[in-house]
Amino acid sequence: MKRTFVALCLLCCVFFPTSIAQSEENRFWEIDLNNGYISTKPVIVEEQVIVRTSGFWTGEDRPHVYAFDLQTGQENWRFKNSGSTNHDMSPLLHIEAGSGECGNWSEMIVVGWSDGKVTALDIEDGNLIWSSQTEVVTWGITGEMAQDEDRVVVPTRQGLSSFCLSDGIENLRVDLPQLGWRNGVTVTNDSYLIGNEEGVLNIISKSGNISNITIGEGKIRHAPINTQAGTIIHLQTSSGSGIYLENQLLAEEGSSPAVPLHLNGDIFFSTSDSVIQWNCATSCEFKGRTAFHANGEITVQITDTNSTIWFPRNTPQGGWGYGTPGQELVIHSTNHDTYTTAGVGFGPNGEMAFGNDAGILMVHAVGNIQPATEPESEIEPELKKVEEGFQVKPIHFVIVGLLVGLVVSYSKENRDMMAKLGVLLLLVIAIMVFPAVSQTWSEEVADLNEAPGDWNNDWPDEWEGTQVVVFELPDGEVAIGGLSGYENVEQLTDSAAAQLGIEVGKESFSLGEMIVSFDGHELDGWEFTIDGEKSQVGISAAEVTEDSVIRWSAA
Amino acid sequence: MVMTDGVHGASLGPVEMLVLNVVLITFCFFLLCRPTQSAKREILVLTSVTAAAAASRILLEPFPNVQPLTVMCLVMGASLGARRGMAFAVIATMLSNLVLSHGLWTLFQATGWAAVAFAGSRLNLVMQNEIAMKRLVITAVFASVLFDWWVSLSVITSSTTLLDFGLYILNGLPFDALHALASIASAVCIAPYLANLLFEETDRLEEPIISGEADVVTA
Repeated sequence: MKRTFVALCLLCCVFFPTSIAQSEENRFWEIDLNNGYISTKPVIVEEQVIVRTSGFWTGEDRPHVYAFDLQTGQENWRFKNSGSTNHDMSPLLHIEAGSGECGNWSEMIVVGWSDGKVTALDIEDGNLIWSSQTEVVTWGITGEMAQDEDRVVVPTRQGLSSFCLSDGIENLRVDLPQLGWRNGVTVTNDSYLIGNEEGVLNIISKSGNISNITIGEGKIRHAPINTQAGTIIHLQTSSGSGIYLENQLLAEEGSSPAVPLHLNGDIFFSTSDSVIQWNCATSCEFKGRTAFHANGEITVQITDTNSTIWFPRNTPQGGWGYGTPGQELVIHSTNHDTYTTAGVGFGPNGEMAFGNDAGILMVHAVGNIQPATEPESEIEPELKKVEEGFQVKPIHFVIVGLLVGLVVSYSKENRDMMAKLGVLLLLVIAIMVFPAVSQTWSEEVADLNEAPGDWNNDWPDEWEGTQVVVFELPDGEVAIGGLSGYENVEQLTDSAAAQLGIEVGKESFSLGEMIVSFDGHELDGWEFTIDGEKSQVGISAAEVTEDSVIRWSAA
Repeated sequence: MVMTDGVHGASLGPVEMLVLNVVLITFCFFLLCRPTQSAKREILVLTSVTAAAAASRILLEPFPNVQPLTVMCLVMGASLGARRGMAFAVIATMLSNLVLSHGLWTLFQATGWAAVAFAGSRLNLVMQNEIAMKRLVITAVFASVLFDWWVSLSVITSSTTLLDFGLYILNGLPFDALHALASIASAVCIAPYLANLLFEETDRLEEPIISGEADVVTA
């Protein structure tokens, strides 16, 4: 009896949280923005955390920039852009108050939008200080902007512009022959560096003179990194990616490269296969690699004693991995883990802000936290204080119950009951791990077969090498190409449908989401192929490459 | 593989559905309408257990391919014989698919489980009211996997190649494994009680019915 009791106590310790006491250092708040994804890192400025949302917008929904009190999570202000309907991927740019040749300016947040607008928002109340318009070719601004003294330098869709921080007047404009997408700009002492979708690095002097270097066949989708050794580019190619020093290939890497991070001579890269570190303080030297799936923004947490690199995990498991390439990464998980591309926002006192495709902002604030009383906004956002730690779910109680039953049966030497409970326990555990096992297995099986392809010679030449989506609707077939940067069928289909004005109907099932209608046509269901081959997994798990052709047809 | 994410194979129009339902119901009624003892009692026993089996399929639908019905078909076939076991299988399939959804796959599921029940009737899985547990577990595992592969045939269309089908089966192996594990659990947990219940009912049915009086000659 004693042994049974001790065994039960040990089991309780395994499954229950080790501490239920709330400590001030571990308290945090989270808020569901109910406004699409969080694709770029939140910005912590003094006592505010500022974040932008992204997505494909139909109806009356549109993306916002939000500002919350860092300690309480109370909303300070929000700004909506009614003209933006595509994913907004340009990171927020915080500008300190200052003055320069073109005037004075107050502290602000500068936002680049996919409808081509550049807006400067007052950091205290979110009021619009100024707004300027750049060109739109399906997309507007998607790359990272940069400050150069008294101006903001903006990588536009087909060129580069700079605007005075004081009044938003354009003081430099350069048109470029190539389109850019998610191509950030780098400011050097005497020029601006900007890449594009044709693998060309443009070097623009501050007076507007252009020179260029062809890096390779691929796409430059980050702000080029200027080092002592030369300019570093992580070029996205049709077969994966390549790390280049100027136009010299240093290494071939995996697909969907993230935006690299430069820190004191060290450069951190990541792809869908691994995270990598090089050092280019003088000449470039490889330092380490760890297998990990990370796309999006790599960020650094700087404390008094060290720097920690954080990599967003862009898989259904989500979360962030932190550490040094070459060593095992530590995984930071949240209660809302899903596909993640946004970097982590860090504050000067250890504050941390997380966001992902679930669209929930999670903030670890340091210090006393007072509960929010009356939110100022019209629509009261859902505000929860959730304690960090192990989250007990009903399935855990089932497992504990079965284990307790097993222990009791063992003590009573009831072999029959032990067999029954043991098999049930195995079954419950198998059900828990099944989704992950099934998906991994399906991905392995998918690699066994080469897709036959699905190219139509009547399509425009510029669609070749890009992502194409075909909808075989009852009233005719429609197709759209020239898309890029999407990771899975769901994202790509959402984007294509939004651009074509097709309404997508979805339903949730135990194994994930399923598209059930296009423009209200349910028919007998819908199926999709990737490059002419039927997928064995669902839309969110079915991965696409840079030149995939997705075809939706009635089942 | 019974459940796949978004792939169901060919679906049927209303006329085809009507024909399928008439064929299946007629088949079931034929199996049921030749009772050896009391018609009402047999139908009551079969219906109660069948309803429970259909309900279990519906309730466990969120868990992919966890279907105690496979083992129940084996036990029903072993306890009540091929005819009643197959009738049970077909009715349970049709009842549960009223909720889960009907289609061409219903025919494959019904025939598949009917075959399982038939196999159960031939393999000496139940003797008196005792389950041959080891034999039942092994049979359940094989029956689960073979049943899944049989139902997978319902997705074949004119454009399906052997390679396509092979990859489809390969993708379904985790589902097959889960079905097999669920069948083992059903065999261990449910089969003894079901066999005992059926044994009591059939035992009562087989008791001789005394009619009239026996004349006794006394010295």
